Order: sequence, then structure tokens, then C-alpha cells
Amino acid sequence: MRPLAAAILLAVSVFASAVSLTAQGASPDISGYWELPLDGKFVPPAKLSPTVTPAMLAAEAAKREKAIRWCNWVGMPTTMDVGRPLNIRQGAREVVIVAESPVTPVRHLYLNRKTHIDKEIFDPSTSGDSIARWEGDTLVVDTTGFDPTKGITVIPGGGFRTAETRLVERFRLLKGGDILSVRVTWMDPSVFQTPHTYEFRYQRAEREYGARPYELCNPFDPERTAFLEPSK
Amino acid sequence: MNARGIVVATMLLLAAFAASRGAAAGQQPAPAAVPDLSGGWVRVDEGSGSFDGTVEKHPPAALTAAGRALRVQGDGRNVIPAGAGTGPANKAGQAYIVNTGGCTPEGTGGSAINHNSAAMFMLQSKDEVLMVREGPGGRRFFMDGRPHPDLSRFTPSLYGHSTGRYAGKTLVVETVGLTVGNVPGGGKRRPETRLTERFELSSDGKMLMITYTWTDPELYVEPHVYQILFERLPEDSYALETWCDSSDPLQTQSIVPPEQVQ
Amino acid sequence: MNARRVVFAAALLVIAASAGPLRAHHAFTMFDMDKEVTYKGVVVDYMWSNPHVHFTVDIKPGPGIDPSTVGRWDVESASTNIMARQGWTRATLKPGDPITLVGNPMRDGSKGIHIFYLIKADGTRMYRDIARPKADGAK
Repeated sequence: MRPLAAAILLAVSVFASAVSLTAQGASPDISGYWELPLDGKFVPPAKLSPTVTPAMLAAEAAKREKAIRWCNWVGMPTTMDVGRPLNIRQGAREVVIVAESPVTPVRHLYLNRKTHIDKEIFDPSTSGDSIARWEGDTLVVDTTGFDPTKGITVIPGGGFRTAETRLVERFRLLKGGDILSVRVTWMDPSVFQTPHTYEFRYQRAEREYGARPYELCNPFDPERTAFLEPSK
Repeated sequence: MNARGIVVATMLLLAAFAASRGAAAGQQPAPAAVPDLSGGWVRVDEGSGSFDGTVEKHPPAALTAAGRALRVQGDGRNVIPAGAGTGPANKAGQAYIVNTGGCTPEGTGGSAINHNSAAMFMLQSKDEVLMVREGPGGRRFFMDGRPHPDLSRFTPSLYGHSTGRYAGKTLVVETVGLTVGNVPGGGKRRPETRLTERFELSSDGKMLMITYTWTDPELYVEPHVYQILFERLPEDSYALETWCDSSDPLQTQSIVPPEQVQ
Repeated sequence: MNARRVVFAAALLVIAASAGPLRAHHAFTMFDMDKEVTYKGVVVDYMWSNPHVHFTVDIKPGPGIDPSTVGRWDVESASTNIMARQGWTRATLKPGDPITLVGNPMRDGSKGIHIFYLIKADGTRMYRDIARPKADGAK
């Protein structure tokens, strides 16, 4: 009987390891509508480089005011926190993030690419160029190629993005898929003494959620202009 | 071990192997039961001679009297009066001002219903199909069987409310709740107008034909139908960001006649 | 009559300020879109930016050059995201590049061109957008 027992043990081992391997190969699905609640942000203050002056910070703040006043695309990091749910859709080639806002470009996180687009031909943008990969249960997204002159450049906790900034985000589902944790790390020695990290935890919206329409932004609306520029 | 034991052991091993392959298959993507529409697409011209020509190829809409009477306001950006360009030429350095500089409604990313020459991207997920252009927002086709909302309680919007289903290898999308507007081929639309889009892939997966059917007995004598053909972008294509700044004077300009060099 | 019908009835009575262009953020009525002219010259500068890419071209008199095309021209093209799908990048042209371009001239005679396509020195044809000549037929 001993050889038979050994054969049974071997058979069970083969099956179990096959199941284990396939479980590791399947990645989570972060598709859904995700809301950022008031208590879903943990943002420590950034340690800014001593070369960052108050004048530089004021200049970046002015970019924010201008982008909002003129309905410009705001880009990262604002896309991830516009006060309405994010629509995240995961496919085989990419993950797409759509915010409910008339001024946030769609984010494309490319799963089918391991390197960034050549700087010689990539037009820097407010969202940059994002490539993504799965590390176990975590989607790791690497973004470069930001345009420092466009959009809202200021970053939660302090600092701002430049042309040399690198952003790494780690998306992971928690609580059985009800929470989406996004750990955000900004790296730029000209702005930050050490990489600046914070975390957002989004709650999954109800299954029946349907994105609500939003007012299109009109930079020539006189009432809006008077509201945003009361001194003029 | 006797012969019987060897046979049993062998069968157990074979069964375990087959079961493990089954487990692996369960974790792999399901066989292609639906067409793969995900990825980037760009419209294809068919020798029309000009982009305006591509639109002129659409069959003209057969409108009712009510449809003809429905006036649609322009987006107000165009400032060129009728007959413009027939007056005295601008001096060197004097720009021709052609619009107010506004970037709305869809921005230069383009409409996801009346497609221009920029790219369009689709992503199919379990409960929703996304269609986005190269600007903010986009269209969501709800695939979870939900009905359209009560239009009397729905705020019409740029893209309305869309539900979709797969009919064989065709994605069929129904949309209502659009704002009043124009439709290619001289058509019109209002929130009650129903747009049916049928997305059909070529057999090699490289071309996508979208058939648009606008139905509204108040506006149309008969459903208004036209097609737009798209070509799949190379796999390494990526979405571009169409920057637009209404405060930039360049946004209002067309030609700036240069100083002439002798 | 419910609220929606009232709104629709009112819409039927509205005479709009203008029908508005269906697809362009500005129309091209300044250009003679029925006339295609061939220009042969050299790139002076190339501005790869939105809302429209522009480049300046010098056309000198010479054999095979239509005298009416001689001069310095501003060439208006499409937005960067439209042109990128036709193979353009910000490195496509540089000052000094010889090109042949086909486009629509301004109606008032000023030196502006709405480009249809250009041909680079190596024979590569670069289109402004998806439109192709009628002679090319279906793609």
C-alpha cells in the first residue's frame, strides 16, 4: 500500500501547487466607482528642499488660481481628488481613470508598456506618462513627463511637480474590495528633501452608481468671473 | 507495488494533472466570447478629399416639420462672420481672429459621439464599457442590465445615459438624455431622441464600424442612419493630452501673415 | 402639458443666434476650400502647439515655381493630437527643410495656407488629418 499512498500524496501535491500558482497569477480588479471621504486622506507635511523659496511656492499657487479661473485642464495630482467619485476601469492593456469633472484629463495607466515614451517625442502634459505593473496584489504605477507650466502643480502636503518629477502610486484593495488604498510618492530632489508620501483611501460607491453630469466650465461666464476675480 | 497499484497510481496522477490544468484555465481570461473593442481607434477617410467631405458623405436626415424647426444654438466660439475673408487682407503681423478662445464643450479632445480626427479609446470591463477621447470626461455604457432613468427626472447632458449589451459579436448601445444639438447629416437631437450604436469588428479585428441610428418620431420621418469606420491604432499607441488655455491669445487666432523677406 | 413638453415647445420657437459649426472650433471660411494649390519652399519655423500647429514657409522664385506662390507664408494645420495620429511629432520639420505642400489659400490674397498635406524631401507624404484626396479613394 505504501507506493499507492505515495502516489496519492504526489497527486495531491501536484494539484495544490497548480492551484497556488494560478492564484498568484490572477490580479485583483480595481474597476469601480471610488469616493474619497473626509477621513480617507493621510497627508503628512512634505520635507521641502531648502532651495524651494516662498516666491517659488507663491508662483505655483498662482498657477493653481489661473488654471481654475480659465478652466484649464488641471491634471495630477488634482485628478485624484475632485470631490466626486473616480471611475476606474481595468482592462488587459491599461487601467483608465475618469474623474467627474470638466477639467481633468483622463488618466491612462499602461499595462502593456514597461518603459516611458521617449522624451524626444513625448509632449509633457498635466497627467504625464504612466506605466503600470502588478506586484502581487498591488498595482504599481510610475509616472514621468509632467509639464510644469500647465494645470495645478501643487501637491497635497506641500511642494509641486516639475518637469523632472517622478510619481509612484501603489493601488491596493482592502477590506475585501470595499476600500481602495492609493499610496502616492512624489520624487524630485529639486523640490523634496526626501520622497514625499501620502495615502488616500477611497470607498467603493454603490453598485448602481451612475456618474452624474457636471456643468461644463465656461471661462467667459461673467458671474463666475466676478466670483473668482472680485477685485477686477 | 503490484500492477493494479501502478494503474491506480497512474490514474490518480493523471487526474491530478487534469484538475490542475482546469484550475489554471479558471484563472485565465475567459475565452473571447465578446469582441475585443478595447484599445485606441482613429477614424478612416475614404477618399472624400477633405474632413468636411467625410461628413458630407453622411446621408441627409429626413426631418419632420418639427425637426426642421428645431434650432440649435452654436457653441458661440466662432466669430467669423458670413462671407469673411473677402475683405481687404490683414497687414503683416496682424492675426486673423477666428474665435473667442473658449475650449468647451468637449475641449479639443473631441466629441465621443461626433468623432473628429483625433483618437478614441475604448475599455471593456465587466459592468461597463468606457469610451474616452483625449480630453476630460467620456462616455459610459452600463452593461449590468440597468434601465435608462426616468427622463422627466434626468438632467440632459453632453453624452446622456447609455446602456449596452452584446448581441453575438456586436456591441449594441442605446443612449437617451442628450442635450439639444445637431447630428451629422443635418439631423437634430433632443433628450428624448434615441441613439442606437452598433459596434462591429472586422474579422481581423483591425477595423471597427460603428452604425449610428437616430430615432425620434417627433424629429425624424424615419430613423436617420449613417456609419463611421475606424482603424485600430498600433498596440504601442498612447492617449495624448489636448491642452487648451482660454487665456492664451493664440487660442483666438488663425493665420498671421508674415513679414515678407525680399 | 408637462414641463418637458413646455420646454420642447419653447425650443421650437427659439431662433438661434447662429446654427454654429458642427465640428470645428473655428470654421475655415477664410480659406478658399475649393481651390488646392501646390507650393514648393523651405521651412522657416515650426510651431508644434495647440490650438493649431503652424509653420512658416519661404517660397523663392525659380524654375517650376508658380510666381503667385512666391513669398513667406503662414501655414495653418490641425491640433497636435490630430496630427500626431497622422505621424507628425514636434521633430517632424525643422528650419531649412525643403517641402512641397498642397493646401487651400486665403480668399483675400494674404499669405496664409490651410494645409491638406505636405511632401518631405524624402518623398514622405504627411497629411493634416484623416482626409485623403478623392483620387486616393477608399483606404
